[in-house]
Amino acid sequence: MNEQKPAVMVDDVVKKFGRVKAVNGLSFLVQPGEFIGLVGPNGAGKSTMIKMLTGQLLPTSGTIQIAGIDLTSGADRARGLIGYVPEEPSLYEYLTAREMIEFVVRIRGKGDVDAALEIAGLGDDSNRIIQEYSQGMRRKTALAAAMVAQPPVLILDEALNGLDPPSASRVLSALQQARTKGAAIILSTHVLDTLEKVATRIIMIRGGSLLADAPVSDLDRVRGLFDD
Amino acid sequence: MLNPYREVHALLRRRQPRRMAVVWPILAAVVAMPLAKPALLGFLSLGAPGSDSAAFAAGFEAIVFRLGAVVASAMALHTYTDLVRGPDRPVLDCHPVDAGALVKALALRTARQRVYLPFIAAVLLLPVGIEGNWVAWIGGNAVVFGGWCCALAVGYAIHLLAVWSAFSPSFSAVLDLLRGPNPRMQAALIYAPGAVLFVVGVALLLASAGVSGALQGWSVGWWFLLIPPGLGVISWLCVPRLADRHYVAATALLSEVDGAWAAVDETDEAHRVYLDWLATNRPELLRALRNGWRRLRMWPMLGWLAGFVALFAGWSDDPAAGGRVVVVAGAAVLAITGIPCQLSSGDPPWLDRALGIAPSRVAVARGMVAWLYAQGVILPCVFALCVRQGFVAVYVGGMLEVLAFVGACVGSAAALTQRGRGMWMYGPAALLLWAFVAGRLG
Repeated sequence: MNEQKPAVMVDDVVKKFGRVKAVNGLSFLVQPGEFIGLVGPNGAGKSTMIKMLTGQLLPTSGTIQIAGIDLTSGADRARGLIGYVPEEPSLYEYLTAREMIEFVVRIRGKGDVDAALEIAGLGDDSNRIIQEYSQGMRRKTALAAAMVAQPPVLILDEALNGLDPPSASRVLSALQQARTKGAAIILSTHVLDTLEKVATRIIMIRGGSLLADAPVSDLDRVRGLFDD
Repeated sequence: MLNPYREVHALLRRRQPRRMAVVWPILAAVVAMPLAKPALLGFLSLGAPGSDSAAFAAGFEAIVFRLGAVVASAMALHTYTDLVRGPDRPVLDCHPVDAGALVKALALRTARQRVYLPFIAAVLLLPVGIEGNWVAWIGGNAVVFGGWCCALAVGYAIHLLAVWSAFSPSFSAVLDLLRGPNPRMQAALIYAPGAVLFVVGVALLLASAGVSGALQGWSVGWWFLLIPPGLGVISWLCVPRLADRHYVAATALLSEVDGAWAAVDETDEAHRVYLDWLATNRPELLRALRNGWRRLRMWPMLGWLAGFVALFAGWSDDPAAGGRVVVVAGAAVLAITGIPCQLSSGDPPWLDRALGIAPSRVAVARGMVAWLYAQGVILPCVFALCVRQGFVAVYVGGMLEVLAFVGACVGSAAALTQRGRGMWMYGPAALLLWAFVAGRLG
């Protein structure tokens, strides 16, 4: 990845569905090695923003670039640079977690299956079919699939929901490691306490508009805005 | 390197419990064949092939075209489901995709899962061969199988082109004209299966006319058999390139459509669901109607189209018109009353338990939705028969209502016991029902 370019660039992005404006002129930059907490109340536009960041939804106006690649015209190329865990991850139900991760390694062309499974912490369960997994185990499998190829941008939509504390801690530590290696991470969440330990910056949106873009040291101020 | 998507599909196929599923529809066709013979192959009684070759060839051409069109319709819908709304898309949306390789794997899976369709047609045409004209039987099967191949390839090509047209500014005026109450981009997807059927239908028309001509001695007609597979090959050559350009964009298209509906829901949702006024104090019926209208809208709309076709079939003083209506409208009614299986496949299994709604109430609601949607087929043709033939309309209408009721009950029972896999039980049962009714009244 070219070091001159930000990992993620969002410039005056608007998303409308009919008369409803889900995102209203949002702009921010994410540099390599940054860990962004994207926060906001329910219906703030976080998921719409995440979908646009992963190329699953096109902005009505404005520009989104991933490492300099415009998502509107190059969504398929940009996907190779993004590891993404949606709020409700979909996996092949009749594969085992190991087979799922092996498949992702094949289509991404690189990755260490065992290291990814270690992050997931599934142990012997990685050889059971995913259909038998709990919600938490599915989420851990999806996290491992997103991180296995060490993409330069990780986008996680409420990805820690449903994880038990040891698993959440292990995943956060793996995310920190990825960040120190230069990955840019965007974690959408409404649990602000999680961000205190890991994030470098907080972006808060409400009603589709930017309410705050502050270093994590300003978390208390952001918490005040959240409570308002 | 082998295609990774094909390898995953092979692994999933080995683990999913569906091995016998493809055999059931063919076995059902074997049982249905003698029942449906009087309605489908009435031309056989006009005279032995050779003695009245023109009557035989005309009847044979008509039935081969219709069977080919039914197979092509099914393939048009299946290619839409597999390519656009299939189970692979949400999994692969998180990763980079080699769309060309993926679409090849999807096409292979669709072909494998739907290979029984031309075999059903072959079984239904079998009496033609048994009564001595094996050349015609082989020719007819070549038309249907060619149409099946053609629909598979044309289906993928046209659905990918539909994604392009949804985003193309040059199509926005046309899509606005066609979309009705739907979001503009959805119009491209709604009409794509119809476009597939139209293109393949033209090829089938030519091929079946060619076989008919060949049976009467015009040997050039055999070459017409190459039209559907030839069109299929040409389409297939374009598919990998179209996939590279438009497969990924379909996700954005679907998000756009779903988002547009969500925005509508916030304002005047209640006025936008077909027949929802019938669901007063019946929350499970309202849910089924909303799910049906928003997720499976293509089915009631196809029902209206079939009703329109049946109206023309019934708009006649010919005493045989009532029989024709039963054959055409009966098939459409039974296609629609399979909707409960599709409704159940989208409902989370835990939901009704959590809400405390008895499964039987949900099953009745799904059955009612199927029966209500079937009225779009039944009422127009009964109206036509009523105007042109009087009392016959009551008899035909009554038979179609009974068929819709039984079909809805079977569909609901299949959905209740088999959930998302209910179609594998319902499909063969519906084929038998249709063959029985068409054979008696057609």
